Amino acid sequence: MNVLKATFQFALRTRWKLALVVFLLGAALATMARSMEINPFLIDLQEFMAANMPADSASPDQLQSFGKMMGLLALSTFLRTLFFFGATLFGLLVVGRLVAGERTSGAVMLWAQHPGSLPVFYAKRYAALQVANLAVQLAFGITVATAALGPGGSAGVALSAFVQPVTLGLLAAAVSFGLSSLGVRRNAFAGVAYIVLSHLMGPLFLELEAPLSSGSWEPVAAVVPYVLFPGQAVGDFAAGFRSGWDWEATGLVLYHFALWSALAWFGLRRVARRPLDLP
Amino acid sequence: MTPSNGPADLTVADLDIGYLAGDPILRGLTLDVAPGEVLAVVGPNGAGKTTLFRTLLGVLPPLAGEATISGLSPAAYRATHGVGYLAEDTVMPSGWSCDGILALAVAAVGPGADTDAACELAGVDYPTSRLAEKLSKGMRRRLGLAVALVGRPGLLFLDEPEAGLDPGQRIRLRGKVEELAATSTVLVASHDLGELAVMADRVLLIGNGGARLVQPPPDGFTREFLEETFLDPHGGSS
Repeated sequence: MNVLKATFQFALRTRWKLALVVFLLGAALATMARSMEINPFLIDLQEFMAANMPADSASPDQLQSFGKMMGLLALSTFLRTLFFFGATLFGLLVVGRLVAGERTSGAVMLWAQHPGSLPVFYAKRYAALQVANLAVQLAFGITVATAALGPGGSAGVALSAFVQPVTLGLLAAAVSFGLSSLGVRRNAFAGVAYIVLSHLMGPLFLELEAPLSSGSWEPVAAVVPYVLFPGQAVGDFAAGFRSGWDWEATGLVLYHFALWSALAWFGLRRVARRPLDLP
Repeated sequence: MTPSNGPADLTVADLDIGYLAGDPILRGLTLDVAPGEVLAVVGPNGAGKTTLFRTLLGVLPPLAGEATISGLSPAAYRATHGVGYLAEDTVMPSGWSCDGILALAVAAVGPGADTDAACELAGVDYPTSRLAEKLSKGMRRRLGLAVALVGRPGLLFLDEPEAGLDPGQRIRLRGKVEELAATSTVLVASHDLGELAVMADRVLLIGNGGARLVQPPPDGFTREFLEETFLDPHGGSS
């Protein structure tokens, strides 16, 4: 058995329940989109809003139909939120306590006694975990792409829907591995906190961007996208597959992959110098 | 099993070991271990057996003094040649099968790893598809020994290798250590004095912050001998 196969088995054995739940959420979204025609409704709703039609000028039948569909839309949005959170959480959890946990438990000595480079060894295991993660995220992506391909959908929209969870999941695993390499034992929990805080603070900074950029806070506002988890940038990057390519978002996503890989490498070099970290 | 490095030699001069500067567990250890020698390390709980192994593995810096393995610092030797280390408490990462753990060990060793020979030598005679965390303590220790032997090390540290083994396995282990000494220098810490008296070439007695090298007593470790030793580990000739 090689590292890739062993890691794949490990990832599926330990995380298959979460993977199944997220997959079922995606399947529910696909079923809803295809059987309840949510996509055409969204297009109708956009046209309705664009026309800026006063609500009292709509017919009672139209309002009743909209009311019913709004309930389904709320349910779909809820499932979507859970789905994306689940895909991200899978990325965070699939890494396990790869580095920090093994250092503190002493299990690191199973590998540290051997002559191979410890950073390279953990990098190999991380790469294998990302392959396993990618395989699962692709399955997640297919479910939301199927949802997007429902009535009123298009290939571009489906591809965009497919790319978003895959990118989020891979980036979440990079964050989790980086944190663990830096010695954070509860790396998945810290990753959730980082992503949720980024999600909450991102819009706040966007709203404050104008006043911040005019004052002495300008450098702070400029740095924010490079520090917070790029959830919005991942969305914009994925949207590039259905509309115009967003080079800024693409660059930001690549930057975050590079940032967390660099942090992980720095942490791993420290681990190689002192493998054991007994409490 | 063919050694990749050949048995290592170990030289220790005025070594102080411990976790806190100014508070060594063991002071002024001076020692030469010849290639292929089996050195038993004996002492009461907390005397510093595991700490000594961690220092010689290069994962814990010495407080004072120097240790070299075949002319290299312990960390440099471990990084270039690899060592074998069976920890006192063999912790296995959870969620991994024995096969998976052996595959990871092979990845850590690189070219020249030999799992089949290591498993045979360590006595891993159960299905390796099982989850490592579900193994009994004795089986887990045998897996830990196999992981230690995968790289065919020239220096082997065995920290209480008999723990968790049944009497039959202990006897087999004694034979294995003699076999391993043909290809490796072996340092073994144990409370099983009967086994040590048979398998060791020399015995390092540690306790009360000091150490003393002796030949294995021909009539075994008698109560009088041990009482005298542990009450006064500096006594007698080295």
